Amino acid sequence: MISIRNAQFSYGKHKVFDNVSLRLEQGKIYGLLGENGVGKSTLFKILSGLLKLKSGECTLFGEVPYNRTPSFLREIYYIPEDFAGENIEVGRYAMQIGKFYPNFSPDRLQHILAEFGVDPNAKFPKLSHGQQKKAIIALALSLRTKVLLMDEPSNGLDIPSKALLRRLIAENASDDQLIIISTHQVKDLENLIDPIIILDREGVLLNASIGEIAEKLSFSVEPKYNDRALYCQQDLRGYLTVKHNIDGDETPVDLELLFNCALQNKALFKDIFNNK
Amino acid sequence: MDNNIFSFDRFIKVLKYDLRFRVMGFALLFIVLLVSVHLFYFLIYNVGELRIVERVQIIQLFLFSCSFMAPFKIYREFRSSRGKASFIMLPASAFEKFASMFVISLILVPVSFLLLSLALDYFAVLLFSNMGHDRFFLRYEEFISLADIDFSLCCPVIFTLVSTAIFGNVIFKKRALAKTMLCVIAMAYILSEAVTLITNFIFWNDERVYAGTWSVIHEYVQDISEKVCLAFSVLLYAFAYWRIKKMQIS
Repeated sequence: MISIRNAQFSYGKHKVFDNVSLRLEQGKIYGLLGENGVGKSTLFKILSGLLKLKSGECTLFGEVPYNRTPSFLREIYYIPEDFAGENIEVGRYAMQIGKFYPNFSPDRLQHILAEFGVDPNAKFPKLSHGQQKKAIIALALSLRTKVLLMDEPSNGLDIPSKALLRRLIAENASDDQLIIISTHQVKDLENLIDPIIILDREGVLLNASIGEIAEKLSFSVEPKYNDRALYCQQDLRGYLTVKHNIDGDETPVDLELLFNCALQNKALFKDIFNNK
Repeated sequence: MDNNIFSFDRFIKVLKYDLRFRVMGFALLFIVLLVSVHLFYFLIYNVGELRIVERVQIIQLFLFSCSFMAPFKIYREFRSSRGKASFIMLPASAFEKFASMFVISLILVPVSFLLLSLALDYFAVLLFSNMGHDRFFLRYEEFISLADIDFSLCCPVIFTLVSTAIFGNVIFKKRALAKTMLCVIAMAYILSEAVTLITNFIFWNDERVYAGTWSVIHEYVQDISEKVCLAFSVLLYAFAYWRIKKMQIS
């Protein structure tokens, strides 16, 4: 559904993507991980048509995003990290915006706003950053676009709201919807995002489902440092270790560990997950 | 299959969206300008009686100011990345968004300013003439009607002013209004020099100049100036549309 081939993009002389290829499918909630500055937000801007690739191809359900046709724009919604609403009531704004989207459901909007505890009659600037974020997430989920891009949605949310966010996304994502969530707070969205994409300055390090990762790697806590492991990180419990899964027993995937491991074994990760 | 360039339904949705959420940003300045016309009359009235021509000129001055400033205020979001992103991502074509901007800036704002200005004056005269101030503001018996305002001059001026304002608002990020005004002054100078050169070239050694038939030259200059301004404005609108269509967010 989303296809990126040999994409190149730069801001002036600063190269962001060089020959990046990626294929994403409908009906999944992708987690997009990467260090600061690797181009996660840039990727979102390219996918939503706000930026144009220097070379290569990018298509979403067959359309080139940068052409920004109305038929494309009504099937995608992008929540930027730094969202701040205008001086307008949340409900009034949502109802007006919703008219442009064929699958918008006002009932769903009311329900999600109520779950988040956001007053639809409040104006955006009167709300806290976290409340504004909840309001725009409620709008995004009620629009039911084919593609939903969320840049750091859990930033600014309190701890109970993070759990609520996970539940509401899981409940309201439709079967044919493709959601990409970019985050540094992997713990906030664990058990929700699957597959995982790890982006790096050299391209895509990993694009694999949790099942595939568990099949190929094992995560464990060991009492001693294991010099044959792919990655070892000490904490109070011992050594958090990532190894090749040789015996075939699947262990729960620790996303934070996976991410650190991927950064330390870039070439190996590309090799393991056939992502060259 | 949908028409991705222009759909009347989508255009109306964009127009309604702009009127509900974007025009509000201009409402305060609009009211200030509207009231200023009458305040201006009031102050001038105490200095000396105004002729009807001067009153019309005052209304025109405020009308031109309002038309020029409107795009900067209504579409001020063009000057921030966040605003540009929300403009681009609204599910409508660039042409529909531009058409809405065109209709609001070029038709709705000037017409509503003119009508409200005249209506306000009408009520003010009715109110104060009952109190014995029959010569207050625009006198009731000399109330300016739409027919008194020279549209043959107004329309081309507003067309040019709005084109430069839309262009400046799309091009400049900071101090867009001031920079556009400077550009307008510079372009007015260049264009007037160009018109003078063309006129000199055409009337070089023309016997009507020596015979003192200046009205011929005057009419010619006016005619060519209008055509140059019109062509220039159309170019600015076209450039602004192209810029909106190709706009990117860094």
